[in-house]
Amino acid sequence: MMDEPTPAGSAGRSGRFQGPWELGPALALVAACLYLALVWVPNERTMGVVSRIFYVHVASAWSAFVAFAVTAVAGAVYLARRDWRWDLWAAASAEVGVVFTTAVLVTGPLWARPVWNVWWTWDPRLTTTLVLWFLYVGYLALRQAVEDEDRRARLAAVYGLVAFLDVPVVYQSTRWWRTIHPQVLGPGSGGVAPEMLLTLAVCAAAFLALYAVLWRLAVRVGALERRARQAQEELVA
Amino acid sequence: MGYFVAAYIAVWVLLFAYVALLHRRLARAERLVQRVSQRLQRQPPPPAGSDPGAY
Repeated sequence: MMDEPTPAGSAGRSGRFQGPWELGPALALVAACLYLALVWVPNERTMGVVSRIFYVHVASAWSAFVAFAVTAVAGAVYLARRDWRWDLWAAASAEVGVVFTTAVLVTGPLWARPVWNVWWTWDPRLTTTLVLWFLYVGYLALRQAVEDEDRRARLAAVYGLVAFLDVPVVYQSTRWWRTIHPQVLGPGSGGVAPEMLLTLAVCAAAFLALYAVLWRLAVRVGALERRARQAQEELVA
Repeated sequence: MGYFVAAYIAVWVLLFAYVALLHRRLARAERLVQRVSQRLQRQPPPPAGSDPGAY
């Protein structure tokens, strides 16, 4: 499927934010998350103020999982339909997912240092998360390495499906193996106070809204870069 | 306290850096599309009698 040729001016406008309603809900949720996490929710009894890192750490992790699920689903649909837009959506989602996984890998050690007395340990949850980050950096590197558009989309779709297998492994790692990573939700967990649960829910919603905004922007950038490549090829031909 | 502040700052710096990167890529692609479309407009029209589909 090919793009309809459009004047350069309209191509430019398509990349801009359309108005405050596009960012508004995400910014309102982020403001609510920051208020609840920094002001309203009480400190956890033993960890103190450092426990507040939990809200952005977990919300980033869940957003990354959603982003990689979108990459896998969009890749599968691309393989079935061979429509380039699904490949574009998959790539944009992987990119945003890597940003959120990076946030997880930065905030995790900043929590671990005062609580565990080490920045990093080869715990199953930490190790599988680091593997996840490398898998999707590899996905982005693969996309840069293959020139032909159809081949790149096909390879990336298959790679995205295989890489996604690590997401349930990351999630289940605290149940499958002996770990020191806290397990706060789900069966066998210590549980959290209602105030903490509410704060986590609002922060998760805020980060998912941020994911949606960033994904849309990344899709626009990807579409415009594709148009630029096609225009260059047209000029050369 | 320092770790907690560093974690919150790091997350927002990371997100803003990514948005800045996307805007840079967007501006570069826009400039490229504009430059190519201007060059295409400056190209002479095909000679009379030639196949327009082949151009």
